[in-house]
Amino acid sequence: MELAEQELIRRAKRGEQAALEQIFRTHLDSAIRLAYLVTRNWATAEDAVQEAFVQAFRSLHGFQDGRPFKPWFTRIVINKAKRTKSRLDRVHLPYELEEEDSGAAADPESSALDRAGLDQLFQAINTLGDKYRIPLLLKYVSELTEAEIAQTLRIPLSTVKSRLYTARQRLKQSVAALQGGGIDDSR
Amino acid sequence: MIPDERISEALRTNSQWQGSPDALWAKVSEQLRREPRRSRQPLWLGTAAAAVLILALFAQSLWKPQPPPLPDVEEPVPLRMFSVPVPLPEPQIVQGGAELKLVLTMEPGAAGEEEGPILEIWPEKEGASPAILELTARGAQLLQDGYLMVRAPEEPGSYLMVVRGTVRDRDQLYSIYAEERITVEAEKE
Repeated sequence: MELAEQELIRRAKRGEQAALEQIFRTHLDSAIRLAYLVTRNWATAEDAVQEAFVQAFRSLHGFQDGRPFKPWFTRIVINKAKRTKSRLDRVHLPYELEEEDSGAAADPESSALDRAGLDQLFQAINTLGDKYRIPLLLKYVSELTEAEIAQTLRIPLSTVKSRLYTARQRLKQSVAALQGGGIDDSR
Repeated sequence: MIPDERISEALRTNSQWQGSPDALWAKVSEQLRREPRRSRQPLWLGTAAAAVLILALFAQSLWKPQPPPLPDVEEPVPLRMFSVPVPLPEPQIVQGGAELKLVLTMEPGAAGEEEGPILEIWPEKEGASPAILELTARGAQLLQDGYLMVRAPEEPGSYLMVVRGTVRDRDQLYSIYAEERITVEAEKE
């Protein structure tokens, strides 16, 4: 763990608002994206992340010095997001995976093709079961290492590796099927 | 394989949050300022409330007439939701090169899902690469036996052995899966 983060956590444990806010801003982006990709609904993702920060900050006194904050906090986010998603499933609120606007590009034609490819890949990611999708999200959204994913999900490292490998194999197959047989591996 | 950057990009472009960090921080800090309500209440209040409740229940059990016995019919067991962490099974401890029986789970597969079958051996070590072996066993035989015999690695250490893929038997596709964690013991001198 970086010294700056350790120092920040020490200050946050003493209740310094500035330190708490800095931790919040550092981890907000990946936390909210992760929560959204789990819940598939922005409003519930915001609720989940709000609850996760409150729980994490209230439990900071028990957080062991020297340990990395991100895997610990990500575990809280995952739990909150899963819980809110199951609430969402019970009341049958619609999922709202929205069309995202990634902005205009210099070459509209190649940009449209590229965008279509990314959407197909995203669609393929969403067809993976949670067993494979969650480790994938932790790797590519939360940017955790395989060891940190194992720590976060409390599964052995070899299981993480195997699941990531299988997930990527399945993505390759799904994308090939969506593209009608051809796989663009050149990118 | 699809490159890492491509997966990151697909996820990033499809999860752009349009909300306000300031507004969310305001909600978090406001919630943090408010102490949990129960900690503000004096301790004796909770104890007294519990005592009153127990007394009320006791009095009710004494005075309330008992309902007639229920007819002798089998009632369905009510479903309850539990959230109990499932402990990981202990790894099987084996000698290097020992034969292992991996019990397969099988499900009907769909066209277009054909792959393998393969055996993956994942060392429980950061940065170590897996061994991935194509299986030559006949699909019909695997389906009939319901298990596969494989050899454990010779090198001491912990591993995850995974069998997965699809097999075909009489024009029907099946997906197979097995997973076993093992620890290969170092040879004793």
